[in-house]
Amino acid sequence: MVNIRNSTINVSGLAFLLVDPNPHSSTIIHGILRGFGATRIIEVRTGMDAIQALNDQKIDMMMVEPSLENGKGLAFIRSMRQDANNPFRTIPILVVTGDTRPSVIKAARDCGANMVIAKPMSPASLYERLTWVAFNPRAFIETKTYFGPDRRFKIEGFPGGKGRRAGDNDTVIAAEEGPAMSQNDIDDLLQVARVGGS
Amino acid sequence: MSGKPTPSYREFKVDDNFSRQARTPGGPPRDAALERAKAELARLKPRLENYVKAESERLAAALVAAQARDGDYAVHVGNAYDASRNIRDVAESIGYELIGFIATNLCTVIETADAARIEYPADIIDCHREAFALALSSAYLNKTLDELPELFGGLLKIAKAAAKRAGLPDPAADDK
Repeated sequence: MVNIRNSTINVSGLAFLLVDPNPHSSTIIHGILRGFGATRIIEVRTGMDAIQALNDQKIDMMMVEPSLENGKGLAFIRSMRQDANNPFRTIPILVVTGDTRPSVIKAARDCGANMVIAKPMSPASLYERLTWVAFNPRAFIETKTYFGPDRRFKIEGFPGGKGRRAGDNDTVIAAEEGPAMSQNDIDDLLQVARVGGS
Repeated sequence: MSGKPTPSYREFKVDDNFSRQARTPGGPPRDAALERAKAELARLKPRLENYVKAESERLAAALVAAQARDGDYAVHVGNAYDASRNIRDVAESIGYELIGFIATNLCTVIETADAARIEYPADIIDCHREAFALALSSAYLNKTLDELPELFGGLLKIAKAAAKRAGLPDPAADDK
């Protein structure tokens, strides 16, 4: 994993699509991105305009406010991720929101967004998220109910120090303490989650 | 047969253009990029200030109207929420830390009541009206939260109390 605090990003030439119904909030993100050196920034206010923008030009990153069209922002991301014919279904998507309740964060994660960034936004917080996305790419996961980046990106270790997926690296973690679930129990739980059971 | 179940998911790597390009050398150093972004915000500040002022007036009017607790109480609180959400999204980014915080806290209180499907807590909303009136005064407009620890701590406490009353987790524990 790269130390993002020491990393520099080059966003010149990249196309950003800002999907935010509030033009003033969008202006702030636009201004910050310009400061970082971005020159291709498209602002839209509706999902329809976002689809149009995606059809008209090559977009490299999208930022979406969940309050889009009375709270349909996350549904918009989900439908884009789920559409197998959408050429942009794997582009990085950031959810930009002032509502940071756990339920909202979880919903943003589960719709297939790469990351959530809280408003009010500072240049440092946006730079950090962009750097993270650039330098720590995550595998995509497709299940019956989910398509998007691996949602386990905050994981710091695996049971026994070894991940179960091919891309998982060995990690050093603390010694186990107290009673723990068996690997079979964990597998059963994850299996249910992956197929969307309750 | 190996007895191993077939995975119910597919995992694959994505080499997206954003990540590829963003990692290439040639971008401004981090500190320079941040300074330039701050300069951009400073350039935008006059326009955004007018917006924050207009939304602040709208919020103040909605909170005064809500104080009457008449038949349109929920409508007034809804208007207060719309205005405070707009302020929350913009104010702090252009340096209005105190009114941004009060608006954010008020949003949390209203969102908590909505999530719990309980009546909007009039007493707590009223505290925000008073705090907001203070924050808009010239003596407090440009104050930072560090300068007002009692007000900052007090408002956080009442947001916590609102969550407790609604039977919801402490909003301050949110992972921002």
